[in-house]
This record gives sequence, C-alpha cells and structure tokens, in this order.
Amino acid sequence: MVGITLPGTAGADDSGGTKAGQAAQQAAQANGAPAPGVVEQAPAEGEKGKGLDPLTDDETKRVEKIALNQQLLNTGENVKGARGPQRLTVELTEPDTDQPDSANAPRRADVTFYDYRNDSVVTKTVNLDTGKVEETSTQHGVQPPLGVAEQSEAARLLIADPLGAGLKADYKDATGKELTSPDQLTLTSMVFRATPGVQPAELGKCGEHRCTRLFPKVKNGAWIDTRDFVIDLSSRKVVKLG
Amino acid sequence: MHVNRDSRARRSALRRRAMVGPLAVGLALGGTAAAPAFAQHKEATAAAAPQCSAAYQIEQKLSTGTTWRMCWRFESRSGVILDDISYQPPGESQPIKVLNSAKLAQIDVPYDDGSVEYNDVTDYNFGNGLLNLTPAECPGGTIKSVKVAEPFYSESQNVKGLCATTRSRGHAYHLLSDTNKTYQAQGKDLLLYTVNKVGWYEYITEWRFQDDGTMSMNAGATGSLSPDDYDAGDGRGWPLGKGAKAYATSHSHNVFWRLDFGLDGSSKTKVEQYDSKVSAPVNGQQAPTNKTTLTKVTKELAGDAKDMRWWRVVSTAGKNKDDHPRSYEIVQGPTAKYPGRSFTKHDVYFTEYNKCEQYASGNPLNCGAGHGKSVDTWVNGQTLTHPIVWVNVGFHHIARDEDQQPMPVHWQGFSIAPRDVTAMNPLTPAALAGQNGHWH
Repeated sequence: MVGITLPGTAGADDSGGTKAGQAAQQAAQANGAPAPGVVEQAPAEGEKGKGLDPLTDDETKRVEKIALNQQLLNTGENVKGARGPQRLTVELTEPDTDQPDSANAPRRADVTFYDYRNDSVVTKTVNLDTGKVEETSTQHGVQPPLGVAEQSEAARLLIADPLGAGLKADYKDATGKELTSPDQLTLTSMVFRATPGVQPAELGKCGEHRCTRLFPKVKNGAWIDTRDFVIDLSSRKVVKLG
Repeated sequence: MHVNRDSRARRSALRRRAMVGPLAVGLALGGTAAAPAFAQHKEATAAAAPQCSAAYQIEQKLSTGTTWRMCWRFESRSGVILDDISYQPPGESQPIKVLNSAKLAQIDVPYDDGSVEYNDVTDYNFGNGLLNLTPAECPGGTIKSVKVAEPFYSESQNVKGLCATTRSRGHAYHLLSDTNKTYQAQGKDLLLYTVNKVGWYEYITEWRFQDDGTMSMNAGATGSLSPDDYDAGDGRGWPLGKGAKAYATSHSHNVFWRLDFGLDGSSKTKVEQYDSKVSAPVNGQQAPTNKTTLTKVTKELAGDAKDMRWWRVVSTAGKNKDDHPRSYEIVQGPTAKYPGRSFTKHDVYFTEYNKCEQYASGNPLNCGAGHGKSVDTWVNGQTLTHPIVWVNVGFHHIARDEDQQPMPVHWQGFSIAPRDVTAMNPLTPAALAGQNGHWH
C-alpha cells in the first residue's frame, strides 16, 4: 500500500520521520513548538480517477456533456430564463456499500440540474466506464443549496429591485462606491422554504419555487444584512418578509 | 510464581474495577451474551486494496505502533468525507476495517426566538465554505489541497483545506507492577480537520484517531456570533457589550454524523443495547447491586441516551484472538437534545441501509414518492442487516461576554471505542503480554 507519510511524526510525536520531518523537528526543538504544517500542492490528476477518488476535471466535463442530452438542453431553462437547465453539482455517486464488491464497482457520477421551466431537480447518474446514463431522477418540491450562478442572479435581482435600496445604501456607506453588480460582493445563501402562515402569502410557493435569502458581504469588507428579503428565483421576484 | 499477597491485592483491585460501572460489567458479558452466528467472510482475512489512489489516502503509523488508514474525498454539502477507515494496532498482521464511511449529515441551527432555522449542510453548501488553512494552524502536519468546484471563500478551486497531523494526548495507561516497575505510555493521535465558514460562524470539523483504536468526531463552532441576531427579548438572549442594551439571541447547534460500519470488511453488523439497573442492598449485602441486561436491536430504532445505557455495533465477520466478536461501542458525550423537531428528538438512530438516505434532515436525494426526508421517518420497523448509525449531538448556545471576539471554539461530538477488537490493550508492553484475563 502506498501511503502518505506525514511529517506530523516530527510534530507532537517523538520518533523520527521523513527528512522534512526531521528538519521540522529541529525547528520545533528550537522554539519549543511543533513546526508549521507543510502545504501540499494539489495532486496531479490524470484523465480518470480510481475507486473513490474525487472526479477529475476531465471526468466532470465528460459526464456533464453526457447528462445534458439534446432534449434537456432544448426544453430546460436556467436561472436567467435562457435555454438549457441550470447546472447545480457534479459529484461522485455515493458508493453502494450494500454491495459486497462495492470497492470494485464502476465509478459513477451524479449530475444535478435545476430546471426553472417546471421547477424540477433532475439528477442523472452516469457510469464513467460505459459513458451511459444509468438513472434519471426528477423531483419537484426539493431545493438543493444554490449554485454560485444562482446566488449571483439572486443578488442581481435584489440590486435591481426597489427593495434593494438598503443594500445599495449600505454598500455605498461601506465603500463610497455604487453597487451595480453582484461581482462586488462575496455571496452565500440559504434556501428559503415557506412555513405555515408565512407572510406575505406570495411566499407560500417557496419550496415548490426556488427561493433564497442572501448573505452578502462587501469584498474584503463588512456584512450587509438582507435577511428580510426573499428572492424567488422561479418567479424572479423580490419579496419583503413579514 | 507470584507472591500471594500481591495476587490478592491484584484480584481485589480487579473486583473493585468490576463493580465501578457499566463498562466493567459489560466486559463480563461480552464473551457470553453476545455471540452472534459467525459467517467468516473472506474480506475478514484478506486485506482489501485501498479504495482510492495514493493521493487521496491517509496512512499514519503513530510512534506507538498503531497505523490508521483511510481515503478522503470532498462533497459540496458535507465537506470532507472519510471512506474505508481501518485500524491496525501493533500485533495485528492486517488492517482491521472499521467504517465504510463517516461524514457530517446535518448541522441544524434554530434560534430561540423562532425567527430563523439554518440547515447548514442541506440549505447551504457547508462543504463549499471550506477555508484555506495557514501553516501555523496545522502544527507538525500536512495541509492537503482539496478541490472545490465552487468555493465561497477561496480564489482558487484548490483549497488548502485539510490538515492531517499528530498530537500527544497524555497517558494511554499507567501501571505500577508487582515488582515495582512503572509501565506507562503516552498516547498519540492522528488528527484530521477542516474549517468551514457558514456566514458568520465557522466550524472546525475534527476527526481524531487514537492509537488505542478510539475514534472521535467533533464539531467546534467559532468565528463570530451572528451580528443580526440580537434583541430577541428577555429569556431568549444574553446581554453582550456594555450594560444590558443588546441581547445576543440564544440558539442550538444540532449536529448529526452518519456512520456506515464495515467491521472486518463486512457491512453486515449487529446492534446491541445494554442497560444497567441498580437495586438497593438486600439481605446484608454491603452495597447496592447492579444488573446489566442486553437487548438485541434487530429492527430500526430511534434511541434515547440515559445513564448506564450504551450501544455497540458488533462484527459478524471477525473475532479477536480471545474468540470474542469484535465491536465498536458508541460513546456519547454531553448533549442538549433539542425537542423542537422530530429528527432532533432522539440521540441515536439505527436505520437499515438505503443508499438514498444520506442526510439526517432535508435529505434531497430521491427515495421515491412518499419517502420521508429526515432520519426519524426512516425508523419504520425494517429488520437491520446493514445498520447505519446516526448520532445527534446538541449544544444550546447562550452567548457570554467572552464570545467576542473571535468566539472561543465550543465543541460537541462523540466517540466510538473498540470493544474486543483486540484480545488485550493494543498498546500492552511485551512484558505484560501474558496478563490476559484471569491470568494468575
């Protein structure tokens, strides 16, 4: 078995290790503390991964292409309302550990899209050995976390809406500049789902619709609280809560 | 040849130990009460090849002689997931497989005023909040580069985000022998951790692998308190800053882990629950009595922790050299169980494996129409053949002045501890190797 020998044996441990470890140990002895960690470069990846390895860039591109067949491409709709569904994630399919030989199972990837045309989550499971789509799942009323493109679009809608006035004013206060583009912000978000009695009632569709609240932050600067505003990406509307 | 006086002293010491609590009583039961039928799977004898390439393997031989091995990968929701985890203490010729996989399965954060509830794993891509680590925060270790397709806080998709290092943990044991020799060892741990930022909060997800076979999973919350969750009113917050003007809103962190056991290379394991009941002394007894009973958990269960109750997952594929089935005990830590949601009402869930059930709540995978979305709904009477263990640990955070700034890390988590994985203490010094069982 090829393993990674950590220079860590030189840190808190008292035995020898690799050469780097010995150097680290000496450094540690000099100042009485373990040496700082050694930063590894990203591993070189080939075309194909093995077993449970993360998907390689090649594999990611290939499965995305396979999953996005002509029909989905023609009928699907993305977050901007343009042709083709919105890509959410491409992930290694969870290994089926109920199969005794799961270690030798073919690598599979789950490619997940959100289709704004009919508010559905479409997941295609692609066998990386055969290049075939083995399973297609379509769900309604399920809202995975937002992708980066969707967060940007949500921010664009908020900035363009009269309800985004506070956000823009706060941005100007913080930076002295006008906020005109989502690129000026670091964005994260939470999916928003309607709960019974949610106000106003137009938010009642959230959950079936793809709705979110944003956590904008001035790049290298302050947070701006916009949690009172829900952005319904399906209807492309901004709504004030309560 | 032993000196009698010493032997007597040792025997009475053993008896005292046997009376201290459920752990010792359980040991006495282990061999007899729990002997499931054994199917000797071939996986148990042949060391399987690692399930990933060298770049994604972590193999650490600790200075005390124990080796831990595993694979790691990344997912946008759960963050770093560990697969194919095995433990090889000194004296074992092959790695002993422990887990098929281990991962965070939810962080549910409801605020006490009912204003908001965050599901950090399934409503926010917890994984994508992976932060670059500075070399100083991985002392003595290696920081691995983790590829994140859509990182929130890193310019590069290659986030320097996974620290692997080792740490001393103090005494592994201490024994003054009959001949006045001190046997002691300082225990060593392999530690893996990441820091993920979720809004203002940051979570340190730590996986600790001890040289004695214990594995601990902990989530530590740090970063900043939410600057916008203040002034929920009396009874729902704590005044921070001068006087009593601003009350930081209290909240819970309900953290779930999902463990898929693969003991001795087989997913077919058994679950057992042990309860000890103390009764008052009768008939001139010197002390109360304590009786431990085994309940076999053959069907799915939503379990509640209580004093003197514990569970273990038992191998059907391998025994130790004492001919006892190998097992791992679930060792729960402090928890503030949150009764507000159906899925947070129990401390541990044992569900039959279903590949679409991956997150403890808000499970977004397609299990078919009418299938529940949270772990409590998956406990519906199925017979357990491949149990999945879900552990829920809650922390109720009532902020304090010291939480600013940054907030000191507050931890929550649990351990799994080997029970009869090896025939003796895996770190037994050679001179004591003969002292197994009622040995004199």
